[in-house]
Amino acid sequence: MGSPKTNPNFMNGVPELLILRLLEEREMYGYEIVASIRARTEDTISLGEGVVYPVLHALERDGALKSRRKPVNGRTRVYYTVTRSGETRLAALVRQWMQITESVNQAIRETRHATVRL
Amino acid sequence: MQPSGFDILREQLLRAGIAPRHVRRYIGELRDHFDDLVREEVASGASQRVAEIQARKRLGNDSDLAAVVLSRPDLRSLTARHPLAVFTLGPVAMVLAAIALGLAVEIGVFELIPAFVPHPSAAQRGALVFVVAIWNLIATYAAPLAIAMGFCVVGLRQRMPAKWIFVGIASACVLGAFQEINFSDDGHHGELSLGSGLMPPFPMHLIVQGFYRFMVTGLLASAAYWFGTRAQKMGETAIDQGVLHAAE
Repeated sequence: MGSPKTNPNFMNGVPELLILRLLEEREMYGYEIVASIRARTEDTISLGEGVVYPVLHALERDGALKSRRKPVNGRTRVYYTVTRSGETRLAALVRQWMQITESVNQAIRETRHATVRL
Repeated sequence: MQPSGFDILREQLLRAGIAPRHVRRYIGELRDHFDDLVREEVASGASQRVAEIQARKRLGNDSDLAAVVLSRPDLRSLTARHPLAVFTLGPVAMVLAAIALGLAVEIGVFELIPAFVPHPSAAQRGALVFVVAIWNLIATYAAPLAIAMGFCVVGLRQRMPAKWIFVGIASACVLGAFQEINFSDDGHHGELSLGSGLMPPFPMHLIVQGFYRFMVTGLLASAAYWFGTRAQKMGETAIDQGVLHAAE
């Protein structure tokens, strides 16, 4: 059975950031989170969908998320929400991500200029 | 018996030492997610069979799903991380606690009796001796056996190697077998005593009795282990057949 194409090397910390960002807006369950990530990133970020759960559980264990079981249409779903500590973590992750992207962009721009000069 | 879609993954995680509660929750959420994906695929026109195959692909293959959990050592159970401590100190502490609890309850009851029955008759004293003897048997006989079986169940559930399970069984059975709580009543006053065949002066009758009790409780707990592994093997055979079936 083949798995969907993923980009794991650049994914470290990214699912965590995206999950916290989405759950900051409203509580969601796993399937909704994955669907929202796909929609928001226009399928750029492609994960094996089941991989989201260990990330959710880890965030919950760290106190960044809390979960509750909620019956919906005869099924019990586990909904996740961000805690105060999760909001702080998200802010730190966003800052870190901005710094990384800014640095990478700058490096790309400088490389281009150098290439043009050559 | 046909295995469900996540039985292989569940076995893989349990054998790797992931705590059963984490495995249960992970598999439960994966199942729900799988159902949602199947509905989505069916809604977009796929047949049930194709929808299930697509849903499983989207969810990720077993090795990817396992790898992300196995990369987190904090999800491993205490028994998987510290088997020696759990299967030696655990049974010892629990057997000692059971004996201490048994004694504490007895002493508490003895303290309360005079308030309700200030002058017990000979028949009442006889009944008390009988009840206390049964209680003592529970504390020194049944409790260690129950503890040994408990560790057997925990070990099997967490797919621990047999050697650790037998260390747990032996620890509980040996410690429990050589202890004795005795209550005697000469008609005027009662006497509660605790004896051990494992401590000086090593009373011979407790050592002999201990060996006999160890054989009985050890055999019963080993029988529980045998039945447990047999049930587990039947499940594994079904999973293996499922894997072959899927491969075909």
